[in-house]
Amino acid sequence: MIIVFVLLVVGPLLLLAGLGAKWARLERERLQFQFRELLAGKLRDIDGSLARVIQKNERELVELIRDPPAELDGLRERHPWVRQAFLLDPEGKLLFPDLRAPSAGDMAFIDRTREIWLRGELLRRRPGLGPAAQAMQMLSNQAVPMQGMDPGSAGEASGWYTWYWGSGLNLIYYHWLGDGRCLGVELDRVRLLADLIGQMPDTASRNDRLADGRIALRDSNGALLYQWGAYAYQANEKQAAAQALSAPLQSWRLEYYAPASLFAAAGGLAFSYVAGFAAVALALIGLAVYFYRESTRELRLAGQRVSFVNQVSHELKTPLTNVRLYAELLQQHLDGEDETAQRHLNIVVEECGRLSRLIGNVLTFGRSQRGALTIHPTPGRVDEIIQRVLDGYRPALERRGIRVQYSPGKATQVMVAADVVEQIVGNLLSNIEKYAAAGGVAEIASEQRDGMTLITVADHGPGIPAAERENVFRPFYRLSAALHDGAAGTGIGLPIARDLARRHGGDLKVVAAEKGAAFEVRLATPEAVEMERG
Amino acid sequence: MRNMFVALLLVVLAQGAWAGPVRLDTAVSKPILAAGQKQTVYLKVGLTGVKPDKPGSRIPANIAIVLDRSGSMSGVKLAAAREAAIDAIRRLSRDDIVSVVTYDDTVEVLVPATRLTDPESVIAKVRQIGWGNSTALFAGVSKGSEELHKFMGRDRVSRMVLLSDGLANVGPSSPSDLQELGTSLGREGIGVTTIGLGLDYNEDLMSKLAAASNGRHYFVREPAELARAFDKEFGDVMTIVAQEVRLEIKCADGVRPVRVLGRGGDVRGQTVRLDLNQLYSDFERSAIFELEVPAGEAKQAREVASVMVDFSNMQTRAREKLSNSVGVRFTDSAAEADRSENRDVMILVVEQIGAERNMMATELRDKGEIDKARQLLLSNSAFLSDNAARYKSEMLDQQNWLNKADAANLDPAKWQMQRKQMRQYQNKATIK
Repeated sequence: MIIVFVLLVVGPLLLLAGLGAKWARLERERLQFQFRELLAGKLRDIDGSLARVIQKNERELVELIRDPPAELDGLRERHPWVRQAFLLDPEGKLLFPDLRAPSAGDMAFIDRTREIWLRGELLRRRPGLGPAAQAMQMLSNQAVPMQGMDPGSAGEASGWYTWYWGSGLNLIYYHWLGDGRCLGVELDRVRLLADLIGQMPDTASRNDRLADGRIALRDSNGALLYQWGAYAYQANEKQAAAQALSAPLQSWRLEYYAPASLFAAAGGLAFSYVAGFAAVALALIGLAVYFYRESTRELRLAGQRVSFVNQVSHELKTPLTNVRLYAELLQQHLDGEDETAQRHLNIVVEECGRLSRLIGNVLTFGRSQRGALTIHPTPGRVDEIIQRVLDGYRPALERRGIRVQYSPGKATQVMVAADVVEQIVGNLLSNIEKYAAAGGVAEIASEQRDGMTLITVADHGPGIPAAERENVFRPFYRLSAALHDGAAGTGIGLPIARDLARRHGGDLKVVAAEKGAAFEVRLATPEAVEMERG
Repeated sequence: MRNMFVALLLVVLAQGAWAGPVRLDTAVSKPILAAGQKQTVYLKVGLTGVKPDKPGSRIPANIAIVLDRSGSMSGVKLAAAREAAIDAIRRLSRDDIVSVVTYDDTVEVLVPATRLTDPESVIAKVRQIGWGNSTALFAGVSKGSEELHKFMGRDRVSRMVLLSDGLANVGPSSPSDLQELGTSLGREGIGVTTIGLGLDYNEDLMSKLAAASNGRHYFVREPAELARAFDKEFGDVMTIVAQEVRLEIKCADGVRPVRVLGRGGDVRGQTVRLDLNQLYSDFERSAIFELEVPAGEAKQAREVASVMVDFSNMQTRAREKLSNSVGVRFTDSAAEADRSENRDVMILVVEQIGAERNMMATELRDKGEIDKARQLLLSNSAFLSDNAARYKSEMLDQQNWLNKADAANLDPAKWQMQRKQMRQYQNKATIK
């Protein structure tokens, strides 16, 4: 029963759980990956909008630089991002601000940018291929065509130059003029940041679910520049997604911090998997419980039936014994007098014997089911026991046209349970009477060898098909209805016979026979030497 | 015709110029100089807003109220801030634009810039402001300026009113960074008024941010005083007649511009530039320039500098210009030179020098040199007191007493509060 339960319920469940867990893990990973992708996409969008702010201002700066005011200082008033304008001559020397009469602001600018001029950093970004080309260009003094606005790469006419000074990133936007001079502006990084912050969302804009997290903008030192979103992350918390800003702010990063609840929502399908698994498990267990209850109900019912029959049989036993006893007394009393009465009385005695065997079978079966069946071998001779059984059965068998042939072995005194032998042989004979009367013969033989007794009971009836040879020993099992039409049986005769034989240290088997069925009974019957002496 | 005559008279007599809502006055500390020596001359440039002819027609304002709602604001402070902001909003009219930004560790644009057609809905939102965590002051100012940018224009006065009671700790937080931002905003015509509440805010950051944009800085010790600061600020904003006011002084050959007293100015070569941002009506804003005039011969007159101011006229929404020229004369008589001394200019000069010395005392005290700071403040007080007597100036006398009070309150127990008062005084004296 347990094994069936394991196979039917636990097995599939384990399989389902294993596969499901794997699937759920993959699914969760996939969803989290998608979620991260979503966050990364969000950060890319923000980067895109910031890049657009930069580009818009870049265009404005280009226009300013192309048409500069007479006094370069005036550039500052024309665009809020301009912190300081500067002009380089073709050798990279500062023409503006004028170092001969610098203002306080000019001095601070020189202080911030000294390294750039000393190293000639902007000169390296001048359009043209090499020093020779540059020299040629200076000689010919021809206008240099604009080479596009792609920021940063060497040789461009315009671009961004970034350097680190003070508390972080600083930006210069430069443009090489046609005459070999370079006009540029240092950006007001504080104002730039303020304007970028102005373009980023604030915590109040909660129109999408991602606002449940928090997005932080950090500079190259990891210092927090701006953040928004309702979620307050922990100091050491790992961000769910990160994105570097586009050039020229590529050293700044956007970070997304997501509360666990957002991730849980992303793994929602995994929960539905768990729910589905639980549902299937419940259904399987329910089914198992149902079948288990059904099967135990049948067992319980069968048990109740057996117990009932057992009790009834027990109650029948005493009156039957009395009936039989008095019938036999009457038989002796009527000896040779009234033949008709004698014949009737014989039938009564015979039927009493049959009934008493039936009851014996039922009681034995009941004891066997309860595990209370024990056998008590006593010294005796097997041939005598068999002969007694045959004597009891002969009238009934002969009435049905069955001839009994008995070939006794050399019987010695052995330890044998007489009631067991009687019951086994009786049951076998009873079967012949019921099912194999057509064969017209019952052949019984016995022999003794090596402490074992071998009894064979054969008939010439319809026989037992090879495939059914074991089944006939199952309780309540019947061969096809056609086989025993008109015959009735309890279905426990053969199982009891085999059970008894096994308890007697032997076995009961169907053996191959040329004709009809043949049963072979083996019993352990050690010689009863001591008993004989005693 | 008569007006023109009066104007002409003013130009000639008081060396003044007048265009629309702005009057330009220039004067030097000594119009008659002793001959034969190089000497220092102070040039005062005064700008006064003139009340518009049509009374009642006020220039619409564009105001961002930026409120600190960090944890330290919880309780009475926040309640007072809410009430002060609500009272201020009630003073505005339907044509004004208002936005409300709050910040703790993040920023919330509580009321995006909007025409004040429904003040009660704005007020209802202000009433709901609760307190949060840290202090993202920089982001708050950034968002406030973004809201102002939405409606910036020559037809509006733009002003940010920033309230904080604590130290900025999210985003850029150094006084110099905020000063830079203030400069940038001021150049665009956004004045930032900063109100420091209680004893825990960073007075350097708040005063520098305000000064850089030509805005006022208030030290409000008790929450109950907040309403007055808001009231004054909003009242003044409504009288603004000109903005994006830029001064340019071009010194004549041989005259060397040295510096602008009390405040940063851009001295380059012979030219000095100064942003003054906004002008209130009936209120003179001034700047004092220190110039070095070369030796001259007696009876000789020479031009010292030409003064040019350009501004946005709030009524006509046009960019206008005023200019003037300043000169001196040389004499052999020292007495004549001394007699020519301009009292009004000298009072302003003394005030600026007094404020500068007060700043130096603050720096000394910051370095822990309490005695030196005290000595400087006491000598500053004596300097102010002497000059108050000399020029019969009540204002200088008041400042004498302020410096005395500063000198008496340098010990650690009182310093935190005293420093805030000093920063407020310095701002008030220099952002004229």
